[in-house]
Amino acid sequence: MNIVMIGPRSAGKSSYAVGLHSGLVNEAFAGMKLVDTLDPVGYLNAGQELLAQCRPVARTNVEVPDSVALIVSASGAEHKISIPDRSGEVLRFSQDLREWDTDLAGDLGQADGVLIFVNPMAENFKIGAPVGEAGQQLPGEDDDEGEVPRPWNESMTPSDVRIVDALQELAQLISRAVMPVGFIVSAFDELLDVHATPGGWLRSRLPLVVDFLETNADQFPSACFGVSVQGRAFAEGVGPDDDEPDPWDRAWALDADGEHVELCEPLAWLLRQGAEISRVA
Amino acid sequence: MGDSSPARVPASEQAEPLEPGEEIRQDTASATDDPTAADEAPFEPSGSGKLLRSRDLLTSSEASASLAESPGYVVVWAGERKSGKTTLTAELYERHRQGTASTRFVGSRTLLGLEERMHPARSASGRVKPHTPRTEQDPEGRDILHFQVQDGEQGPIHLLFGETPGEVFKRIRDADLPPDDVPLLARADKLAFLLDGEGLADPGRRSMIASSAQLLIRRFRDAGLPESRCQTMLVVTKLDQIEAAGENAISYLDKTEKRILPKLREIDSDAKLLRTSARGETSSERGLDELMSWLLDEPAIDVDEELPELPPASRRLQRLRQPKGLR
Repeated sequence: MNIVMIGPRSAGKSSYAVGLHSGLVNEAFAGMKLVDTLDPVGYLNAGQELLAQCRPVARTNVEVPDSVALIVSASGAEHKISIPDRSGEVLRFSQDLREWDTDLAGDLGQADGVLIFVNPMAENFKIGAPVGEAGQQLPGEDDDEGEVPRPWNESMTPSDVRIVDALQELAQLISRAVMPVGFIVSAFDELLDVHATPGGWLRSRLPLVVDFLETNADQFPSACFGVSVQGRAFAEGVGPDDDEPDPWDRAWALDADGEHVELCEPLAWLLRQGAEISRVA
Repeated sequence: MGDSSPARVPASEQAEPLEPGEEIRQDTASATDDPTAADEAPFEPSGSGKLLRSRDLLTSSEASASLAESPGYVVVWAGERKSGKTTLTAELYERHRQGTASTRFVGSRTLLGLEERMHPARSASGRVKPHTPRTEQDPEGRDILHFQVQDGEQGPIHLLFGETPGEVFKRIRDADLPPDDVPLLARADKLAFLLDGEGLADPGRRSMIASSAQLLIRRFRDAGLPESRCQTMLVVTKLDQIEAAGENAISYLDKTEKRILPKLREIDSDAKLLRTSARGETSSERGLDELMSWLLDEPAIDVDEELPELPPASRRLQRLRQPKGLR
C-alpha cells in the first residue's frame, strides 16, 4: 500500500515516521508488527536517538531519503507500506506555482491513502485572522483608497485553504474513486489545555476542512487523530530524566473523540480503509 | 464536539509596525513568512507540467462545466462601485472558514480568487480596517467566482458569482451600455440590486444612490431583463453604517425601500427585500443566512418557456452557452 504523507514544513511528518518506526521495531503496538524493512532506515534510527535525548526530530539534523518501505502485519494480513517523506516545501511550491512537482505528482498518482499533517504550533500555520483580532498592532489609519500594505500572493494562503486546495487538486490528479485521508494534528500535547479532542480542535480551528471532508466523504473518507511523538514538550538543553520512558512508550495518539489509540492507528486505519475499498471493488 | 476558545493570532500573522518610509517588497517567487525556511537547503521545484485546476476566476465556459456536473445558480449582484458586490461573495465564502455559515462548504474552483478578495479584510494584509479590492475587467473574460455548498440534506449546489465591475453598471445606468450587451446579466438565476448603505448614510450621496438604483432597474426592465425564471431581490448593504448614522438615515432607508421595491416588483412580482451587514463594526454580520437561503432557493420553472424539455441542469447549461435574447 502506498501512503503519502503531506503537510507543510514542521508539520510533523518526519517525526511521525520516526515514532512509527521506533514503535514497530520495539514491538510497542499490539495492532501492528514489523515484518521487514526494505529501505535503509538510518535516518529513522537517528531520529529515535534524538527523541531519546529529549531533542526534537528535525530534518536538518538527519539526511532523509525520499521514501521508506516497510512490511507490516496488521488486521491478520501483511502489508507493504511505502511512505515517501517529501519536504514540506514540495507541496507548498506546487500550490504557489499552481503546477505539481514531478515527484509529488508521481507519489500521489500511485497513492492508496494520504496522511495530512498539520502542526498548529508551527510558525507557518496560518489561520487567516480577520482585521481587528486581538494582538494586532499597526500604526496610523488605512488609506481611504484601500491601499493594502501587504498585497496578496499565494504564499499567504491560510493553512485550512491550503489543505482544501490540496485535496481538491488531488481529486483531479488521481484515477481512483476513493482516497482515504488520515488527518493528523501534530504536537497535540501543546493543545490539551484548550482542546480536549482532536475532532473538537479541527471543528473549531479548521471548519472549512471539516466541511470539505464531510461533504466529500464518498471520495475522501477521513479520520482525525491528535498525535504527540515526543509525548511532551521538550525544554531546550534539558536531557531525559532518570525515569524517562523510552520514546516509543512516551509517544501517544488520540482519536477524534479523544480516546487513546496506538501511535500506529492512523496507518492502521488507512490499511483497514484500503482493505474495505478493495473488498467493495 | 465543538471546543470553543478565542482564536490565537499566530506570530506570523501579527503585523509588525512599519518604519517611516519602509516599503513592503514582494518577491512573488519566494515570498514567505515561514521563518524556518532558512533551515533547509533551498528546494528546487521540478515542474511536472500538470497544472493545478483551481483558478482565480472562471470563464463562462468553465462555469458551464460546473453546471453540467450538478445543479447550480448564476448570481449577479447589480450595483455600482463600492456597493458591496465582491464583499458579499467573499463574506458568504469566509463564513464557512469561520464556521458561522448555515451551509456546508463542498469546494471551490476559484479558491485562490476568493482568498485574494478576502485578503484585505485579514490582519495579514497590514490593514487596520477590512477592505475589498476593486473589481477590474478581466482581459481574458474571466468574470465568475465559484464555490459549492450543501444545505442540510439537499444535494450540493454550485454558486457562480459574476464579478462584473461597478463601472459596467454605471454605464448601464447612464444608458451608455445596454444590459443585454453584458451576457452574464441575461444568464442570471439570481439577480440582486444593491443599495449601498454607506452611501445612503451620507446626506450628500443618498439621493444619488436611490436614484441610481431606480435607473438601473428601469434599464433592466426596458431591456426585457431578467428572464422570467430569474429571482430578484433588493439588498441593502452595510446596514451597520446606516444605523450608526442615526434615525434620519434609517428613516431615509425606509422611504427609499418603499419607493424602489415596487419598481422591482414590476419586473418580478416575488422580488424580496433584505438588509445586510457583512462586516459590521458596531454589530455582528446580519442577513447573510437569509441571503444564502435565497441563493439556494429553487426558482420556479416557467412552463411556457421556449426551450425544449430538458433536466434543469441541462437547461441552465444551455442558457449559459446561448442566452435567450442575445442576437
